Amino acid sequence: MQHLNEEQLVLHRYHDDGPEVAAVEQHLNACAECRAQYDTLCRVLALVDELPVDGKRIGFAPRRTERVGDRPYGIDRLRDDRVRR
Amino acid sequence: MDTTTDVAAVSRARTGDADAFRLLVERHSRAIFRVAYRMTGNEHDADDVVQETFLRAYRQIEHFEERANFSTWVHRIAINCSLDLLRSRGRHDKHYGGDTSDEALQGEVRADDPQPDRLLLSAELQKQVTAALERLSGNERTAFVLRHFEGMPVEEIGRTLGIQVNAAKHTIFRAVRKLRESLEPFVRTKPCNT
Repeated sequence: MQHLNEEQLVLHRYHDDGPEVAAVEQHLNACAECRAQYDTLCRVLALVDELPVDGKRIGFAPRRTERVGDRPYGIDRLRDDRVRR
Repeated sequence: MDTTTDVAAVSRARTGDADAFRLLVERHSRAIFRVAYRMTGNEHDADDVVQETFLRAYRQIEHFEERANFSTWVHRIAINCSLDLLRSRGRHDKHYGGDTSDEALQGEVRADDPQPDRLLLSAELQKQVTAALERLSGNERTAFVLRHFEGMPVEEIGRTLGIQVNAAKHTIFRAVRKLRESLEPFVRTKPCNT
């Protein structure tokens, strides 16, 4: 089997390689070059995963709780909107 | 902790029960914020998307099929709200700017770092990842976020973006390639178990 191209590696990473999955897996186990490419891809994507988004890391939770729970900004605004319709 | 199911809460909300709708908002707003933040790239826009999403959900809840999954439904609304916001600002298919300087980062996660894969991103590295995401076009970013974080099938991404499946697939390829090109210098090769 030829070396895997980048698209095949991306498909494999997202489990989108369909019936080729076994062949791709087999190649990755046998080919150090492709394995290294794949590992790099995975690590780059893991880096993106690490970007903080959740409330704990950006102070979202307290603010969100306050805003969502607040009558003026939360449900009352929605209720007023429904009444206006 | 409220044990009311989403189905029950939706049912009550459809009759105008504001407390039931509030429960749904509280239960799902964090997840909605996450997808909105990833799509828009900033907290302020994500906040706007969250508000707009639940406003639309409230307006349309009479049309929501109770057999459907509320989380899936409201996520879909959030994705559309995010796309609307990006399009309204003309950012949907424009490439973002962003500092491409990597100099400050080189010392942050070094090759000899004992466990860089377990390291929470340093502030500087966060900037680099953020900049890498901002270099994606709107479509690339959206397709990537939906596939990578939301696990949305490529076919559905195509429908969401109004493009063919193959085009959606290639949009994801382009996004991943750009991210790899930007971020590869900051990772070192170790076995990947994914």
